[in-house]
Amino acid sequence: MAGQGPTGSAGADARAAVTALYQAHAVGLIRLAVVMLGDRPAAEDVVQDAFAGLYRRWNHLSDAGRALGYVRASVLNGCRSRLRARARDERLAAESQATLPAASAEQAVLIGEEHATVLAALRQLPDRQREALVLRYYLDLSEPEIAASMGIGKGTVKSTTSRALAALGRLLEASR
Amino acid sequence: MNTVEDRIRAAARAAAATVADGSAPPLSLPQPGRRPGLRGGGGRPPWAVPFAAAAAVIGIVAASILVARAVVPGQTVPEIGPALAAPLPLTAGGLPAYFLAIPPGDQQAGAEPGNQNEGVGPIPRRLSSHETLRVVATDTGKTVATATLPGYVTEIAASRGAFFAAVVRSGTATFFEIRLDDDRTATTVTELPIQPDTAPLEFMAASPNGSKLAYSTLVMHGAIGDVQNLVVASTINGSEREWTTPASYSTGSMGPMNFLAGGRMLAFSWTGPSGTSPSSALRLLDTAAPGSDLMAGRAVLRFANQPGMVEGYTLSPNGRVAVGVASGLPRQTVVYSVTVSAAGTRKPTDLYRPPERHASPVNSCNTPPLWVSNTGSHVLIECYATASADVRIVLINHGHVAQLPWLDATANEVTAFPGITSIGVPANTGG
Repeated sequence: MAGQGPTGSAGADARAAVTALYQAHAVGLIRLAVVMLGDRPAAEDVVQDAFAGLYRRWNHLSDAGRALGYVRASVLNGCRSRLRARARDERLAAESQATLPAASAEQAVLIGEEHATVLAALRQLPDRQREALVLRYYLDLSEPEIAASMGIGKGTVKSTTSRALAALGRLLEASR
Repeated sequence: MNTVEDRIRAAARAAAATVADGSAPPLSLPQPGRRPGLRGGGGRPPWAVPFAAAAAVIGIVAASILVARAVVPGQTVPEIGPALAAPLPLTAGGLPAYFLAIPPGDQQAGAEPGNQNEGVGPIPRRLSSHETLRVVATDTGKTVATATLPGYVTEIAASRGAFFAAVVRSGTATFFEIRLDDDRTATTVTELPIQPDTAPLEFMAASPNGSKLAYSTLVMHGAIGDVQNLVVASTINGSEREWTTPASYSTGSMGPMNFLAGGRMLAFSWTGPSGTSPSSALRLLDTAAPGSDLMAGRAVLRFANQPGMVEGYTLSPNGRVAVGVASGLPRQTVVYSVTVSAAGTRKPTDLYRPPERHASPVNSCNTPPLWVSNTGSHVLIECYATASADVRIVLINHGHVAQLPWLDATANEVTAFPGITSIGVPANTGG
């Protein structure tokens, strides 16, 4: 079990390494989480949790060079959990489908109706489809990189991306 | 009008731009030797939930191991696989009575990624501790049983009597049979005696009687291209054969595949750059013939001669009809069939052209079809519900979308149907 993290000098080293990684990549990862979630505070929480998880498991990493990949995957996992919890909460609250969720409404003000509509549709996609599109069209990752990040085959990346684009197009069409 | 891709890029960048450079809050790491602070409003530290979930997962997996007949969660490969399963029943309408589905986003939230989840590389690394699949009754759309697999499920397939899953743990794929118990309310999950594979697994198919699994992998070789491998392995004793692409074919890739009725011939899609040989085509490989050249078989349908952009076909169990989906048309796809024979192919026949607007329950379909009858008159295929991102499985029956009862069931993302040769007729007894 990873516990609270490394101790002693190893702990200091881990703290320094994780802090340096955070300083270099936190903004980029928060941006990724904002794209996924549309909610800045939640995005910051997800990224903080991901780095805390990295710190706790630092001694278990076989290759520190892969830490960024680990933390990016953790951010995606965290976003997935948040979106799932949000969907559950919204179902329980039986909100009107015509009403934009609070996060989307706020985002519409910040980035404009068109972009908010696209992102809202994006968040309606199944997890794998949404992640494939964001990794492909926001992070501009290659198919092998997406495959590695999502833990799926390259062929599956192709089919998932294709399906996701078709599904998103349909959602956008329906929202006109 | 911008493309959907452009709109995604623009929207994502606009959202990202709301986070200014240097605006990340200070990092707060757990203090060594001190009780971690509690999150506002919560009674547990942030990682208590993941650990609790992980503990629950371990419990679930352990329980399924106890219930299942021979699940081996480690890397030990059993010497003998399960006896072949008797064919599953059909519905009154002659469709497979049960199918397997990976629920969308089934991976368990909260499970700690673990050491395997360290980042990039050609081998899929992101694993969850388990994934739960659903066995769904075709005529009701209800889940009749679940099967918990001890890792991340990358591919599923079906024979007439059983379902199969490839599960990745620690960067290695292992293979499991999922059998619906006699009372149809529970499953037995059994690890198969197939050698684990560390290459990224792409597509998988089961022979009709479940005695063989075929799967493709792609091994990347940097700038010199990729090598595509096909493995056909016995589910009974693990014996296997492997085919690979010669270096000159390294720019192409295999697509979806399916066995024909005899369980010997394997149809697969091959996609390569235009103007190169072999051209993109639906190919047929005799898995009993000697040799290891993946391209030793023949092309039965060349994609360049077909309408639209085609990624994959499903060949009928008798090998005579290929059904594909042409995309690239505005907001529309067309499902069509092509008769293939040694004498050549005939003009494609439209099976279903979804209307552009909301007049139909579905308005676009995925490739390749899940199952095709021998004449091509009946096709099971995943389609998108109109004005929704939901994926539905529908039966195209002589050009009409049949309103199957489970059309309104929970949307499924990935499904596997048992093989049948035609509506109401079980598949071959061989293969």
